[in-house]
Amino acid sequence: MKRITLRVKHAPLLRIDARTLLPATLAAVTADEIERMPLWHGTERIALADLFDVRAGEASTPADAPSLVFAGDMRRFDRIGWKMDGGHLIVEGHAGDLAGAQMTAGTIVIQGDAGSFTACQLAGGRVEIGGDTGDFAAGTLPGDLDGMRGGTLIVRGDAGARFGDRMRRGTALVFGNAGAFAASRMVAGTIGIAGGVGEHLAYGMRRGSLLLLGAQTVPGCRFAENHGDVDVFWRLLSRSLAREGGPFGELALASMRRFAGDISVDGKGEVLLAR
Amino acid sequence: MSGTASTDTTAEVSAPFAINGVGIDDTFAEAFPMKATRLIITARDATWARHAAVAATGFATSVIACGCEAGIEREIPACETPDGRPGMAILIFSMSGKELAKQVERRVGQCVLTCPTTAVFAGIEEGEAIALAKNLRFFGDGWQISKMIDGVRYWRVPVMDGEFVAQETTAVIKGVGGGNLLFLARDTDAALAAAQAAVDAMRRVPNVIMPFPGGVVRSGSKVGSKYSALPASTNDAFCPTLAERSPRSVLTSDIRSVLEIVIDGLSDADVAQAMRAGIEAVTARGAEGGVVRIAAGNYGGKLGPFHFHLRELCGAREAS
Repeated sequence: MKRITLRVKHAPLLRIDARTLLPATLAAVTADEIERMPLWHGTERIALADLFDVRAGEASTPADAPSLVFAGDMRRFDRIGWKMDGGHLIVEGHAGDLAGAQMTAGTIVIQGDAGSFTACQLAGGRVEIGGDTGDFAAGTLPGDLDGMRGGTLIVRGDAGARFGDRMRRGTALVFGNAGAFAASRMVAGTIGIAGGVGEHLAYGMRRGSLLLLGAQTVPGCRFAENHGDVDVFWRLLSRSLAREGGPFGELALASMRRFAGDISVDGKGEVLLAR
Repeated sequence: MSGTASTDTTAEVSAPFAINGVGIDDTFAEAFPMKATRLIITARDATWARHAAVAATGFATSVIACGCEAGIEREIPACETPDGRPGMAILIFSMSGKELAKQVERRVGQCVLTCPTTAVFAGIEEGEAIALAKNLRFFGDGWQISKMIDGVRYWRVPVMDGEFVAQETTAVIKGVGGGNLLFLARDTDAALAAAQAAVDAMRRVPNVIMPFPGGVVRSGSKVGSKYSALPASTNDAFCPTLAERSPRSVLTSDIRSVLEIVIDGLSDADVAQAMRAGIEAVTARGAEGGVVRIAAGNYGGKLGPFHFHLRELCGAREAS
């Protein structure tokens, strides 16, 4: 399968909507056609070659899915991997907003930081952020009811506010800290945060599991500690998350305290404090 | 209708072929396609996992009246189970996917959900999905919690010792039921010893169960009866007390006890391997073990598509 590399010549003055630059789309056309693909720079229609050097090669294995590599600073490029449904996408640098939003399959690896709304409404596949991500990651797009609804999001740095807002399914892990309102209005799924969290943790949480590794306290007025035996569930969850490594790598050896809530909304969610 | 095996025989048999002095009849076991699934039951320790497994596979000797045939396949060490606790693998076979689904739900609901500290998981990944906890979750009365972990949906049902965790579905595959061996022995002691040795050997074979008590059945049956209400009746061809009276008898006067092992497996190769292990275990004991002949039950080859010829199972071993 094809491996296409787009190397940024220079950062554009205005933000670019990169939703059309998907591995499968680019693998289906020639290098010349890729260079002529239109992009919008404000109201100006430009060619892809105006911003990128294009290099098309073969993937390491013939059976591999198509792969697309962005090399350079992509901070001004939004919607990278938007609604992506397969293939591998790698950003060797930073990415703009809405990376991996509404993606259904495939893998996205952003080696640097990502902007806001990363993996919003992610429905399948895997998104990895090597650095930090902005606000509303794994959350919902404005006007929609459900946030992330499948797949896996890994943030190896810090996350902004509203991480996992209205999340419904899937797994989202933050190796660093998360901002205010983490897991707010969470409907289901699993969120793990290894570092510190901001205020209003799990505000309005309905269902789902929020795992905290740092020495955290849970809002006592909205969550009640529960001492019931949930050993089997913890074994399944901790073993699964431990495979992601990093601060979660030793999770299978840890025990935890469990808090049920958010009681203020009659929620059946849980906050797990690993220790 | 109780204590009936699922085999019959119509063949006139003799045993010119022998291994270590044990005659091998020139006949075959006839087996049928079934629907099968494997469940992994785990618990705080192996004792409670076994309690649940024994209960869940109880009253499951024959599809004639039990709805399914079930048994414990093996004990699973903690390092091999989904939750890292000691477990038991059980196999359940039925004649249709619909009946199997019914049996799985009933047995898990009454025998596993009820057993302290247990959890239950699908033991087969590929195949048509049937409900495992999909409906049992409603026992939680609205307090049940769904959890997707690694793409698998589990249900967490609150119970009095904590919560019962079960996978939402298990997979059904095609299995083979009704493989069998008959040990024709000089007395009951010899027949029992041979059958037990065979069962011990067969239990080391993966993917098979011997669903009868202790793996052994004494009431082999034939299809039909002089009584129209009965679908099966005693297999008089192998009843020593009828040796001189039944026109179907295949027993000689030196055979005074016959015991049968019925084998269900996930494939015909598994059943064949188990039968081979059973034959080897019995023939290794020699004629002094008291088994005069080894036979098998069939329906003349007209009903079941799987035919396990004893002499083929014995391979190229020389007669003695």
